[in-house]
Amino acid sequence: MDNKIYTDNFEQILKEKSDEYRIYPSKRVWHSIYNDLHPGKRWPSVTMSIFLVLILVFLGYLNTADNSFTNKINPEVAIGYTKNQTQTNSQHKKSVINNSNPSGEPVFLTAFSPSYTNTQQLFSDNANNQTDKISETKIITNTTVTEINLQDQPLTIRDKKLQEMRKAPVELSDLSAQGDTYSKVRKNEKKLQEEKIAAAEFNIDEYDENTASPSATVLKNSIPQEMNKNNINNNSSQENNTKIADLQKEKNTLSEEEKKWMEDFALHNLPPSRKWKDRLSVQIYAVPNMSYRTLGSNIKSPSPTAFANSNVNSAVTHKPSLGLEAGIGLSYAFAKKLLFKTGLQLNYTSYNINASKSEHPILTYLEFNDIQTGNTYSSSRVSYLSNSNLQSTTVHNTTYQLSVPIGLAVKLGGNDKLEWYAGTSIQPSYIFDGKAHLISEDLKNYVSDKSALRKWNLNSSIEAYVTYKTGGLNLQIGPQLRYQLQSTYKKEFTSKEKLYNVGIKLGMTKNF
Amino acid sequence: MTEELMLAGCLKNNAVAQETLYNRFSPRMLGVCYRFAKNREDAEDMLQEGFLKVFTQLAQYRNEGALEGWIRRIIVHTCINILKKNKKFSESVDIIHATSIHIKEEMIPSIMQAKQVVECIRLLPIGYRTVLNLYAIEGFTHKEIACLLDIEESTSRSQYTRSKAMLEEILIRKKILQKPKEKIAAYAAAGPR
Repeated sequence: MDNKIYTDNFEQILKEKSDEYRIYPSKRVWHSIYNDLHPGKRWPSVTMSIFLVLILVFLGYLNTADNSFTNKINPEVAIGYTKNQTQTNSQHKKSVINNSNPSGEPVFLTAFSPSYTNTQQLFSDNANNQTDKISETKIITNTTVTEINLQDQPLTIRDKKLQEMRKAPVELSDLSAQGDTYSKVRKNEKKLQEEKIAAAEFNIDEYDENTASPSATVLKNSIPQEMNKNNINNNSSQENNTKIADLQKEKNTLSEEEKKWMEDFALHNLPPSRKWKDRLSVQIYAVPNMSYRTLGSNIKSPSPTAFANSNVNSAVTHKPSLGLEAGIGLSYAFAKKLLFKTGLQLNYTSYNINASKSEHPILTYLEFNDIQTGNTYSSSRVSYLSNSNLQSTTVHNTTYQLSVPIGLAVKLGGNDKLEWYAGTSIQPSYIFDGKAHLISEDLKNYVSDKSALRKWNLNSSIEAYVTYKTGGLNLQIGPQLRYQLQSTYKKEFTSKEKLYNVGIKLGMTKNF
Repeated sequence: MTEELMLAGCLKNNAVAQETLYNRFSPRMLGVCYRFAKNREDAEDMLQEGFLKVFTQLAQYRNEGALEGWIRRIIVHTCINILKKNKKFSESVDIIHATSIHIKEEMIPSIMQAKQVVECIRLLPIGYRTVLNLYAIEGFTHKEIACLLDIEESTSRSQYTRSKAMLEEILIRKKILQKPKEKIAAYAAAGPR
């Protein structure tokens, strides 16, 4: 098809072809026009975006909610975990393993009775001795639950039991457990086997030596009475054999650490040691603050100077200024509600001095303490700054400090997400730089003398803050007051100044 | 929705009427902006600003002539104002050097004819392109163009002449255009050299 156009009517052709051309604009254009024409009814994309963000936050909260009952399950021992269920009979095939444990944590009891395929229910008292309610229930993978009370038995019988238990297949009950946990149990048959062996070393009251496999176990005296009320169901089913076979295939997957844990737990009903897990945390923080000072006199002996006889605070015009504290901290929870805190931080302090700049040098005097004799003496200085408002200028007294805060924090209250703390610390500080403008003895001039600054000082701080848990981090915000305990200046100087900062501490903490 | 209803609704700031008007005229108007703009994003910005002016100045429409023509005029003026504001004319090539521009053939897209023509127009330097658009397509006089672009009328004429020649060359090279028949006949009559 001949697509060519003759150029006789070039402009006509151009106009026609251009008018034929259409492009459909993007949605953005109309939305922008709409928003400009109807500012009160902004395109709902903003509302929709906020709505979607809220939904995402809500979904994230649900997915990260602390399902604590799943945290305690030993996959080798328990299948499922339910809370606050009323007592049920053994037909539900749920078992509770809990003993009165001073720590309040559930105690795993192992169950070994190869001939049993059903779980046995145990009821535990919680700390308040509620006997009619299951505070924690756990489904035991391997039939019965035995309380482990060590009793002496003849070695030979024990050996026989061990042998038979080793030979006997592990049978699983047909549990109405959660699928995930059940599959974990199936994968750890070796752990179950170890439990059997360990349990066999303890007292098992009823043990039929004449049978190929042990028939039953009973609860021990240490188990609360409610536990004994449960009937042990002896429900062997064929499908358990396949489960047992699966477990047997996976019996070599246990690590040494897992074996050790199981043995310890089975033997002594002891919870695993947590060491310092979840106790140590690291924090980065910043504290924008307002810096200021208190002024006083450090004259060791009476002096006839104006400085000694007048209130220096009323003679000078100083104003607070912005300061900053930033650092990294480490905290260790040595008790449930107490934290030991330390770290390293940088501090910048500053306050403003209203003065007047002089074009010509001024001879003035500073007053000093003679450390050895205790007397005061004057020393002349040259200055270009006078303490008047004739030609206003602003100078700054600043310090740059490196501090090591050492302190404590106490938890005042809170819930899963929000916690309130109060804290205090002592901060040995090294002043590595700064500026010092000292008032002269007649209060009329300022002398700049950086050497007046102490190299070492001591600060203290008190703070209160709230932390918010989000994701794997804790966000912290709260007020802080930091006060310098010693004068900014050396002992030789008769001026005494103590800095203080009031600010808001913003921090982010990560737990180990 | 009839045009009268649409206009009445737009005057009452009715969003539905405004959207209807926008949807009816925006494709063609964007095509107009695209001929003036450097790229599609700039063209859409011109379209947005143009339609805002249309809606805010709709009360001034007196039903004298087609609504599309009125909207088109506003859009074209908006395009010119934006080009002037962004100093896009500084990118235009001085007339003296215009003939030295080399248009690479591969720059010309092989697409449908209307779009081919528009794309070829967009290949021109911005000064040439603007004058060509205003005179040949939008129907402005050279006097109006000179007033609009703050140039001399003679400059407008010369720029148009050169832009037309350049565009012709592009279109012929792309074989979208053929040379006029009399020229072909003249060449044929001249015979091989």
